[in-house]
Amino acid sequence: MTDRGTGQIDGSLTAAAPWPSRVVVLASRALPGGRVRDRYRREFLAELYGMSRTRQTSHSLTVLSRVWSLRMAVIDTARLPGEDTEMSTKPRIPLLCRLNLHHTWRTHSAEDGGRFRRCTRCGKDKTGSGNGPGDWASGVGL
Amino acid sequence: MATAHRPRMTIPTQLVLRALLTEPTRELYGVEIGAAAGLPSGTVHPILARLEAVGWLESRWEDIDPRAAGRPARRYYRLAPTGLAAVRDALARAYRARGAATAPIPIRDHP
Repeated sequence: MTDRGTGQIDGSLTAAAPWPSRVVVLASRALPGGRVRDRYRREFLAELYGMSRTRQTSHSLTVLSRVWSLRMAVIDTARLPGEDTEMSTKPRIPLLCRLNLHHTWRTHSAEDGGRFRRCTRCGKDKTGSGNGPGDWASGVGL
Repeated sequence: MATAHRPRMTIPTQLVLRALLTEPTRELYGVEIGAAAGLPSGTVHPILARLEAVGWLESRWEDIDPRAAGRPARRYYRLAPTGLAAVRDALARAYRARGAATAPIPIRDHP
């Protein structure tokens, strides 16, 4: 399908040495378990082949030093909105808003020029003339 | 696909994208991408993960027989055809954001 590199980074194809292999396997343990960890463990190990022993060592140590960044990237990936993560990205309504104890009101302009107030945290429109903290009394029917 | 979420266009990210953009259809594995981008070996995987997450890259396992090849299958990356325009746009934006101070001086033709 595509042109591809030969993979011969340092000349002859050198097998993965034991210590660099252990280091990259150790690095992969910092990743979320399951398919993600298995994928990167396989990927890191495969990349060691074809490198000199010295380069394998430096490469594995660099992978180990960068694995936390990779972990953050992988976790952020899971948070991206998509088919599987739609529920996790649904905005959460703060507890005080849900209990109608506190809202952060902000004045907005409607299309017809009218003014209204809306909570910036939960999106609730303010109704009535309540002016207490969060208008909680009207919210609970008092 | 979450292409609306642009990754931060750090210098290493730009270098990786430029390296891949040299031959957009070519597949490279992590070590090759690091070498092409001029980045230390082993530093590109976080970048690749973020770029793949936003749909700018796609990856697949190499289709080989590990016994015959004498090594495990590698994970190959390339620019996603659907993300090519977004990559070029993001690189252009990053280039403009750096300002004229770092821009190359245009060569003028002498009359």
